[in-house]
Amino acid sequence: MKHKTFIPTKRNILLLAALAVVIVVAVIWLYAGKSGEPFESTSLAMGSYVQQTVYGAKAQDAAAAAAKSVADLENLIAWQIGTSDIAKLNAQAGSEWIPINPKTAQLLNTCLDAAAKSGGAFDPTILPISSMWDFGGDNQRLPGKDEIEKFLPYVDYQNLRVSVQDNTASLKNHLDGLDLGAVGKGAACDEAIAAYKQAGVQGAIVAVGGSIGVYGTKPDRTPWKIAVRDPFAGENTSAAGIGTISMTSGCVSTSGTYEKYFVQDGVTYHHLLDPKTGYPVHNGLVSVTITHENGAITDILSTACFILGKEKGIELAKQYGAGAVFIDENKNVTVTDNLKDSFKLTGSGYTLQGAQG
Amino acid sequence: MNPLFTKKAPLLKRRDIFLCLALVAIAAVLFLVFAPRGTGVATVQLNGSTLATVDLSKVQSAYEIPVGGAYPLTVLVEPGAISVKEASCPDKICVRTGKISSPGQTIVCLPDKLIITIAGQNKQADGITG
Repeated sequence: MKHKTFIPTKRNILLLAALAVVIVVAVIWLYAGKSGEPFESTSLAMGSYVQQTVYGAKAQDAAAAAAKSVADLENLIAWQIGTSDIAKLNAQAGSEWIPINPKTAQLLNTCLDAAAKSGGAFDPTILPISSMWDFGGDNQRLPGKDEIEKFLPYVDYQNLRVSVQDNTASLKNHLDGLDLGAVGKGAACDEAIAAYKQAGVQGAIVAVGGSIGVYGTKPDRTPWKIAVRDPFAGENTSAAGIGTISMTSGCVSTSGTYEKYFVQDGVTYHHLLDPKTGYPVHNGLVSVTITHENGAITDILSTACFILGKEKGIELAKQYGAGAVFIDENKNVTVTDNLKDSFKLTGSGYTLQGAQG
Repeated sequence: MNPLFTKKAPLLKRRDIFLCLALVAIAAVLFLVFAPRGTGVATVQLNGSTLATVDLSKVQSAYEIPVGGAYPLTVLVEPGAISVKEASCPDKICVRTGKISSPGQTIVCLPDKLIITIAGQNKQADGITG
């Protein structure tokens, strides 16, 4: 009798405990599933695809606010938009200082600083040359040597003057022109992150073309994982990356020869123009990826470091405390020391090289 | 002595085993009902408005969706995949992107302002740079 009453009790406790565990796990699972449901939005801005994934209570409002911030920035800095600060500056080139939005002034100042630090490898006054090539545009073409020679002297960042005190700027010569194409997408990520911060979302990731910004945390608290596109995957933009970068905040941008290019008479011309020559740079690199807290700087440095080449590029990244991943045409991958712990190589056929940085 | 192995009064009786099986069955049903789905639901957007939503896993035979806009193009829907078959845009990046079939993949035609997305999260990464 004693046995009969004792054992069923223990058995029942065991079963109850098992049931309780199942219920608790189920509730946590369902709850996690629900709260982990992000708000996703896609739009077109800055001449790119803008993709947002936002987690948290005010996700939808935050995504709308971020999209508006990006559109507002585009309306300030796109030279193609006639009413933008940059279009006005270009139209007034060679005459006088004109008033601009403080945001534009700050961004131009960042550009000037980077142009000086990179010795002109990044140059915001590239428009006279870049508009002739018109990569990805309706009139993309190989410009004549005489045309390049004629307009190259006007590509000089020292012709741009900016006052962040007065929020004014000027271009020295009539033929000077600003093109912020190498900084706009990164700067747009900064705008989106500022919007997420203001809305107070739990976490968010924004991609403006190939520039990515992350904010806050994911529901599972793991770092954001950013894949680095395989430069040899061709147009297949959905292909797996060559590796991943784990990050908890900040931005990442990539400049690659595969982004915009055309082939004429068997020669491939890609969009990464050397401001010194007016032609695409050929130094063995196929893509450069940069990480930094500031998105505009990641975008600028990815271009500048590509133009400079690996050795000088690593030096420049170091000056900014940025992380860098260089990929060359032989599938060698060079990662700066400050990214070693967060970068993971996954692409087959690629080999890691050592780097000082 | 471990009660599990006592012959007189085993800890787990036949009906307990049935109870366990029933619980597993309930868990399985719950999983099927609440498991993340939507793998393979493609959305075709032109200039911000949705033109079509297609569950690619339910497509029996291939068909085309003609899409207008500044540079008209043809979207090809096949069992399990979607692609841009032909396009009048200058760069043809949308066509060269090829077929997409997994959650998180996208096809974009910037000139025509066309976006095709497949719903769901990319398991490998949160974003892709480049």
